[in-house]
Amino acid sequence: MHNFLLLSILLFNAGVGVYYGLLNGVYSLLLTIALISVIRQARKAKYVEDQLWLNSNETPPVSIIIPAHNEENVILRTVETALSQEYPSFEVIVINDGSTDSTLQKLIDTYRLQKTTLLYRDILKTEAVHSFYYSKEIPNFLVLDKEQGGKADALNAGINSSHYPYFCSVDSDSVLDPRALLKMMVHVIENPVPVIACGGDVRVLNGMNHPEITTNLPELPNKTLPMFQIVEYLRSFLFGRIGWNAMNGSMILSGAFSLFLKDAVIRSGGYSRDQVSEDLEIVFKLQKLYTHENKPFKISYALDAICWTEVPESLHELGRQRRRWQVGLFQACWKHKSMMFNPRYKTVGLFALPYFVLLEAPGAFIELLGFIVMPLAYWLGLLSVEYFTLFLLFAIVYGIFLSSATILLEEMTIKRYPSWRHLIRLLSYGALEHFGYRQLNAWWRIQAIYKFLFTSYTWEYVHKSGKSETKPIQK
Amino acid sequence: MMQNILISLIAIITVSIVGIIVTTFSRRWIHEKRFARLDRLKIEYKERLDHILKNESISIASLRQEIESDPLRSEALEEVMYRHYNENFHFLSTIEALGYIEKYQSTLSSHASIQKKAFAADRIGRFRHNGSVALLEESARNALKNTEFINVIFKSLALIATDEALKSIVVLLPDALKHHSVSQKNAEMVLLTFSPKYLDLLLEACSLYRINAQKEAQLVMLDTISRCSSSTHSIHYCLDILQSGDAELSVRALRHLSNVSLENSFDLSPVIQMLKHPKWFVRVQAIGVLKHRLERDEALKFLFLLEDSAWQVRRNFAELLVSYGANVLTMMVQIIQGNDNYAKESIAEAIQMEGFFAELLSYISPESAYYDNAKIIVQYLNNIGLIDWENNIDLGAYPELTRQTITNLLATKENSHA
Repeated sequence: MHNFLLLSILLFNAGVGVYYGLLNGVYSLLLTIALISVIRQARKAKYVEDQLWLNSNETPPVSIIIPAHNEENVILRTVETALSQEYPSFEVIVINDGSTDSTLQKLIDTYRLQKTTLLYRDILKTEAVHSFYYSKEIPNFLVLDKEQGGKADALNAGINSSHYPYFCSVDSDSVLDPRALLKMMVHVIENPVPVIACGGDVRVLNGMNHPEITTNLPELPNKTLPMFQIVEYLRSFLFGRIGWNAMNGSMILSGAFSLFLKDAVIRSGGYSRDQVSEDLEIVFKLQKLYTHENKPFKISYALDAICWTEVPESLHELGRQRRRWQVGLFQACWKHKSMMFNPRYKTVGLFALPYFVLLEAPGAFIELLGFIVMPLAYWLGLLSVEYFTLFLLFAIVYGIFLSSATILLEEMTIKRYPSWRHLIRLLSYGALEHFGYRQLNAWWRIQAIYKFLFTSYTWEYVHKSGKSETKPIQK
Repeated sequence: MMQNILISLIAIITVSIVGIIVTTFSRRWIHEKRFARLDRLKIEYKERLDHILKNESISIASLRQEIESDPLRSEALEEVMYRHYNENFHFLSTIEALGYIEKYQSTLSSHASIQKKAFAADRIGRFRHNGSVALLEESARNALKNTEFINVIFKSLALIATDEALKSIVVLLPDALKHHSVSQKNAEMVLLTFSPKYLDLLLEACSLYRINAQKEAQLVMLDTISRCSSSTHSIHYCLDILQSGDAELSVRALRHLSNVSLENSFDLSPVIQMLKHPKWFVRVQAIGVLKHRLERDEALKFLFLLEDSAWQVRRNFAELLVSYGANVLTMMVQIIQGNDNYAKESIAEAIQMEGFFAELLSYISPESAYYDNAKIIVQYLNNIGLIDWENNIDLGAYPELTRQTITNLLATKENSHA
């Protein structure tokens, strides 16, 4: 028994070594690629401008689809920025997905909406649509009131009612930069390979006053949790997504702000209602569809198309969100497991998907095992305290390195945090997140693994106050 | 051994972190200083240029000397010139005299970095320097596989917008499309900046592509033409294209024909042929051309399109029918009383889309010749819930008798529900 334990611990240690080596190797690779891409992007910004497309009738029109369920606190802010997009031709469609609060009433009152009847063609099957509302003053604004069916169902209803060849899904708690849509579309238009989906750069809204977005002077939140999430979002979008995008391995587009070719989404069957992260799963479906049809396609990421979203400010809400994301990732990966190591899917099948399933997903589990194995190893005399401390230090220092590098990337690209104080705070939180916040995330991921494997997951709704340090809109 | 490796790694990473932090801060500091100076210089040059250009004095030798020794001054002056004096009569000559064109031409022809070249091409385009068109074309030829560069070259040529620039695009387009270095949309967008003045040149290019069997380029060119206002030449050309039977070409040719103003008539028979085309999008486009042009009796020969497998065709044809208004009420009633739900739905939707409903209500009066037919149609629309009486129909605008009849219709629906 003793020998078995010894062997197991030794094997675990070796496994952890290999695992961390691989994981950090991928991180380093992604960071290097992101750095090269960012330098190129920064140079390109000097001669690529979107003005030509802004003034053109030929820029493809887009339907902005905003699904909303009980979003009375935030919906007006989101609609306002969507309607204020600097874009030649677009429509905004809000889908009130069976809200029990005053979401619909607020929209009716604010925009003086009138009930109307339109034929609803359910190309994608959805729950019943009760009524349509339009505004005489804003002809490109439409509201659908429907039976509750979840976010996927609401998005499908929005697609059914949209008029344009592209649609952009926007979360009801997100606000868009005035040219976010245009910048995203430029990526689509100028790419010679048909871009069927394009994700935007999502930033943290908390702490900011709405008008500051347009004047390009955002503020940072005072609370700790949103600060940690800002660093996390920067890391995820500035090096994770840029890195995968450069390798043609984009697999995750944020549900908060993504653009899709409508026909492609319809042909793939639309958003799946059985998925927790329908925004993640739709990308898998599109990958499959186009690969099977043997058509050229690209799933892209637009670094300069920025959307600001409200993040949870309490541990309870954050835990819910993280569990949901993790379960969503597992569900989608499991449903499309046939893509794993499948050379037909190129970078996604051979690298991106295996990376998420084999390296990212078990991270929390390995961390948990470490908490059990380390004391055991110490008790069995197998653990060198010095070695353990060094390993721990290495993990922390490497994490801080990644966060700092991401902040440098931000500095080289969008530079949305202009003051010196912002910079110092971001760097500090990049270091502090390794003491408690990361471990909390690991715990939520473990909970998600448990929920995915042993229980039937129910949607954990994250409450959006619309007040989270964000000052009200000054209309 | 392992511990030493770890210690070394930690040391390297720690030094890297310090390096990153120092880089981040120093980069920001340098940029702040640089931009502050640039802003000051811009103000200075704005004042000086105001004076120089207003006095039409071209003695700018001293300016040139200044900017040659200081890149930031050169940048500031260029930006001020471009932002504020773009439309000035002396703009191009001043830019040339200051040496910018020469500098960018040299970068474009000899620099190794493709990004520097793209930047130079962009600047030449912004200065609308027609003399550089040949150089732009030659540079593009040498980098035909570079998407980013080709896109910049195309845009620059579009900004120059001269005969020569268009001819360069025409020459470059087939190869650029072949190497996937320009998207169709981008090429169309660029070409559209030339029209309508250059419609004949576009048609000529399209014919050339047709002869050379360069279909992709032909599609792009035809797409551009389809968005231009028509001429006798373009109408004939598009009618001729229809003979090819190619769906992608035909749909573009039809799109152009649908833009022809109604005063200009042309032979509709090639278009009518397209109503039987196997591709639904061609049929839809053909209906679009025929709307308001086809005689009613001729249109009634194609009623089978109401049962088309594609809803877009059904709806467009229904809209075409509805556009004949009261003249086809009997036909609409026959469809509504028939068993084909597709056709019924299309007619109902077309009435709504074409804004025919108000006219229909005005016929609900016993003295109207269309009374019976209009009543049946309104009743049908009411029964399928397509009319929002409370919010959208202003009954006060109709005579008492009409209002009374409509109220009875509403009661009929309530009864039927009961």
